[in-house]
Parts: sequence; C-alpha cells; structure tokens
Amino acid sequence: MIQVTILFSYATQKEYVSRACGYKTIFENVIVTQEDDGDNWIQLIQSVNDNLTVENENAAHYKIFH
Amino acid sequence: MLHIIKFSIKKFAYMFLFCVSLNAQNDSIVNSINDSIKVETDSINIQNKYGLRIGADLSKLVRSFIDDDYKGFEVIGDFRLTRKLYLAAEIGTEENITDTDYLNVTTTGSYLKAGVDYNLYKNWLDMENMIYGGFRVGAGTFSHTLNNYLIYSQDQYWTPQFSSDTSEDFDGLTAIWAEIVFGIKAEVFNNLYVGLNVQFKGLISETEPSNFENLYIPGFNKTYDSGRLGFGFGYNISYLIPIYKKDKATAVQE
Repeated sequence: MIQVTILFSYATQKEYVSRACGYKTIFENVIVTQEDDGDNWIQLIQSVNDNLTVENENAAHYKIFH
Repeated sequence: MLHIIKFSIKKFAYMFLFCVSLNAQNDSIVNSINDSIKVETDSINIQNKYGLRIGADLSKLVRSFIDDDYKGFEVIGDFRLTRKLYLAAEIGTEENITDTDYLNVTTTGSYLKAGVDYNLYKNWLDMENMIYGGFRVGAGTFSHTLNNYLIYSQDQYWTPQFSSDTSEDFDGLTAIWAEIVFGIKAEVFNNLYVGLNVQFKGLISETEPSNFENLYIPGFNKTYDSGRLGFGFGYNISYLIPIYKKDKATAVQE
C-alpha cells in the first residue's frame, strides 16, 4: 500500500462560458509538489505546457512519472 | 228648397276646399322629406380625430406587482400624421433579475423606441380602431450586477464547486435594435383606447461586457444564444388628446 500526498497550488481566474453554464475556472500558476515521504515513489512531476495553466478540461496538463 | 241647395253647395265647396288643402299638405310633406334627405346627404361628412395619444403599458405594471424579479414601466405615445400613418414612440425603464442554476444577474436600464405605425384596418363610418403593423428603432442604456455565481463543473469528485457572492458591476452598456410590431388598438370609450401588440426584435449592436454577456437588455428583453432575435409583447391603455379634425373623405384623397 503506497500512500503519496501531492499538493496543488494555484491562482484561479473565472471565465464566462454561456447563459446556461455560467462561469468556469481557469487555474493559473499551477505548481504540483509531492510531500517527501522518504520513499520517492513519484520520481518526476512535469508540466505539459510552459505557462502552468489548466484551461482545457479534456487535455492532460501534468505528467507524473514513477 | 233653395236653402237646402245653398247648404249642399256650401258643403261641396267645403269638401273641395278640404280636398285642396289635403293635396297641398301632401305636397308639403313630400317637399319636406326631399329637403330633409338633401340636408342628410350634406351631413354625411365623417371626420377623423387627429391628435396625440398617450398611455402606459399595463402588462409591465401588473408584472411589477406579481413578479418579484421584475420592475418595469413604459409610457407609450403616438401622433397621427395621415389617415393611416402614425408616428409612434415608447419610453421605458426596467429592472430584471435573470436567475439560472449558475448565475444570478440584476439588469437595470432604460430605453427609447421610435418609429411608425400603419393602420391596416378599414374602419366603418366614424369608428377609429386599428389593426396595425409598425416599425421601431430602439436604443437602451443599462447595467448588470452579477449578484452571485456558481462554477459549472461536470466533475463530481471535486465538490462543492467554487461559488461567489461578491457582487460585480458591468456599467455603461448600450444596445441598438430594430423591431417589427403587430397589434390592435380599440376605442373602448370616447378617446380611450386599449391595445395589444407583439414585437419581433433584431439586435443591431450591443456593447459586450468584458468576460460576461448581455443576458437581458431592457426594452429588448431576453437575449438568445442562438442569434440576434428577440421577442416582446405589450398590453396598453391610452388616451387620445384630439388636436384637430379632418374629413375622412378628403383624407382619403390624400
């Protein structure tokens, strides 16, 4: 049983979508870190895009390697 | 004997006289009938009233009392130019709350619509009702206050979604639109009219608020995602202030 804690830190920005959906959130300056548990099961956390934003909910934004 | 003859002659004379007088009376009746007919043909001279008709939209008033999310008032007016053509205008103010699952927006603003109405109905005699088609150009200034919103998400894992109750203002917005109007106006009492109309609107231009959308435009009503069309209706009561009268017949010749 591996238990790993990862932390997401971000700033939010709202973006208007439509009358029916209202607003959606864009996450900016997303930094993903893992708590050091001495085991280092996760070896690398890599951002897919350079500007560290999460906007398109259908695409991957971060890759976590172990 | 002579006496009797004298009497009968007298009698005949009277009868003759009566006959004559009867004939004379008949003649005078015929003459007077002819006279009166002549006078009547002269008096068939229907006049139309021309003037300023002002009133208010009752549906907006009633809705203001019934609907907690709406306050509105509209003054209407028209001025008769020719037998069929009227200059028409509406001026109004509205406050409307648009409430959806994810948004709650208060829109306040006022508007002016101006154009013409054309009476398509051929009135009997001196009746002055209208079945009309019309055209308007409308312009409005308004502002939105975003009272609260809830972030939309299909993801059921990260719940609850972020919501905000901090109100946000979108001020100084304007819109211009065109309208085609169909309606009726009926004179229910002397100079008092009751009317019903439907409006088909097309948005010409609008200032889009940044990171938001004009969900409701005072005077234009609800906007639709599908396009620039809008709809409205009016139920109004108005009073005609007659300024001058014009012969219907001469008006026809115009």
